[in-house]
Amino acid sequence: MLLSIKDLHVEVDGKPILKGINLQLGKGEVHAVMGPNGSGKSTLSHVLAGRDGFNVTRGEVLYRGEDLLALNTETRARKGLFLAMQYPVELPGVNNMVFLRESLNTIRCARGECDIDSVDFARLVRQKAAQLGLEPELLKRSVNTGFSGGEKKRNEILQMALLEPALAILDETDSGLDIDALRVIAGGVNALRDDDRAMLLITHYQRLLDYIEPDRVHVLVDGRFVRSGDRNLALELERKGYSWLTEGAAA
Amino acid sequence: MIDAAAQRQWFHDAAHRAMPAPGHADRDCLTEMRHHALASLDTLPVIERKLEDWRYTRIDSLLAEDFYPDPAPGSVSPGKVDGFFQSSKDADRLVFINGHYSQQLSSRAVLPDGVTAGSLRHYLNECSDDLAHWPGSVAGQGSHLFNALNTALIDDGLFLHLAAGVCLERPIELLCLGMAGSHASLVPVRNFVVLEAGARAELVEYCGGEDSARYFYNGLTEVLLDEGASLEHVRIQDESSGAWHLGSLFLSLAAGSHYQGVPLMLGGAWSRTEFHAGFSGESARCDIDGLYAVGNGQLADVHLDIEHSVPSCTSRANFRGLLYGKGRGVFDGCIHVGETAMQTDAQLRNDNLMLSADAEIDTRPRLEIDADEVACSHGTSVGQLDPEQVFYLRSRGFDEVSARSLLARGFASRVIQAIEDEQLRAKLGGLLRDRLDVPGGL
Repeated sequence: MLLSIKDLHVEVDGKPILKGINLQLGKGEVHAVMGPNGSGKSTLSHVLAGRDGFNVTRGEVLYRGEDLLALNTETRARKGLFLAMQYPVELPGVNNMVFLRESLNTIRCARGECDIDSVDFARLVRQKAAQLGLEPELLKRSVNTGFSGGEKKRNEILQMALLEPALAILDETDSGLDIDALRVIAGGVNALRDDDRAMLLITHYQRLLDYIEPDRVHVLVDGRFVRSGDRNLALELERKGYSWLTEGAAA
Repeated sequence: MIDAAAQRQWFHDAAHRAMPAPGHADRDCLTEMRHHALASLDTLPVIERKLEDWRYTRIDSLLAEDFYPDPAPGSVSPGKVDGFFQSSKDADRLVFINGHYSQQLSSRAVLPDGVTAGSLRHYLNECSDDLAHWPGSVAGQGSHLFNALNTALIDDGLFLHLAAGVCLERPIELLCLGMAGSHASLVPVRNFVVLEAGARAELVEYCGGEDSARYFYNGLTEVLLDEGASLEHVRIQDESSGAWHLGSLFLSLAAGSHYQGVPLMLGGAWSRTEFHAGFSGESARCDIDGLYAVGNGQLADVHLDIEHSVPSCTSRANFRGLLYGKGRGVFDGCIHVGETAMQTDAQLRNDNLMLSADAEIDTRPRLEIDADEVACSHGTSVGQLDPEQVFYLRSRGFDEVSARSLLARGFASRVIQAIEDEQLRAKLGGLLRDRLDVPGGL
């Protein structure tokens, strides 16, 4: 298993948010985690990426057999974990090209590869940006600074395409996108699907799953997976909403 | 704390050690001016923290030291000079060692007609009428004892004059370097920049010194911009860690002229940089984007005073402070809009990023407005790095130290973004990267 989550309990400010999550994600698989607002979706993605302020009270997370929770954020990234953020922050004054290159070199170095030549890098990044419909001008600007919502999301997927992670977590990547942008970004994500790479799609709406077809769908309600199934489960949610499952959880 | 009489004595001693011996034939058209300045060492107020302008800055460390003039540039190799700073290979470069022009180390380009650029000492020897009129025409008596000391010792520095309508294609580079001597050196520098109507120039000034050198740079620069003239002035204070630096800039802007200043205050143990700007004609513009970055027990004190006394002028002052380790910063800035200065457009900002719990900043941005119908604003901020930004970078593989450094450099480098000359901007970006690459992280 690439990622194995067992009975994960997480509190934020003393309040339980995740109440026993179990998940097995194998190489090459794409799983979707769906749930209503406040169900704990973002907490799950942040705990996996190593953000501060989340207190794991029970359970374990194994990544390639290793205790993921014992690693700091940058070590997780260097070992191939990538989080595409729901709200990518702006980094004023930090040049996007410089940021992308230094990030790639750090991760290549951890994989035992050498630094990429700056000419090769420029070619690579322009090509990937073009595939994602990201204006070349945005590469010269400060990271995400003054970018539209859609441009920020494209920049996230550009990073994913460059860093080639083993496990990518996409946190609400579809939020705030119009249908054309969603199609382009989904195309970028699909191009990265292969037998070695796993993905966890975190989303409120099933719309994204029309474009990126998951192998499994898990429904998160009040900190627990209340149902798992194939992608038909997502379509069912689309028709019925979350309420039938929410009531089931309360019962 | 040293008393008033002892302080005056210190200024006198510093002046006399550096002055030519009595009977020395070295008289020129500024002799009288030096005498006046010397006499004012007895009349100007002593510097103490009771004075608003010196409230946050002690000068005890200066007064505890005896500074001696270092009359002749030592043996410095051109390669060593290149190691300090070079904006471009073909710049017209004037090099001063411990305050004295070095012809051997300077590399002079052929300048267009109408451009005079060289050592003030050289032109003083010729003593043209023009030259006798300019010194003091912008700075007057200066604002304190250090300025008076500078004037009492006027001897060398940059003299740059552009005739009406002349445009310089390439920057003039001015390097003032402090070299180690057997004792602490006094480095008095007096610069004059005069751009006649419609002239344009770019001046890149660098002040630095040998690692081990102990010296006191006491400089005063007067800039006179005639109607429609335009000067871009990058000033890099990158003094050695054992140096004191006091740099006063006095600026006079005639109608339609434009001054664009980018001062970077990075080095020295103790530094004070002063900007005094006044408008003499309408529709002139003064932009200053400055950065002070201090750590390791350094002090950077920045004073700004812009006086709007005529209508329809614009001033933009943006100063950023980066404070790390045990660094201390002072920002005391004032824009005054006089009664007659209608339609003034003035903005004053000071933003500070504190990277350690031991760093300290005193900031006092002020707008004083006596006119109606003006558009003025001012603001200040003191903050820390945003944990969200640090997390974002760490999630992309950066360790915490490099994430913080990258963000701090990003904050700092925004002051150089207005520089149009791409080559120079890249050079300054590299310089900031080097200087802010502190062992153990910012």
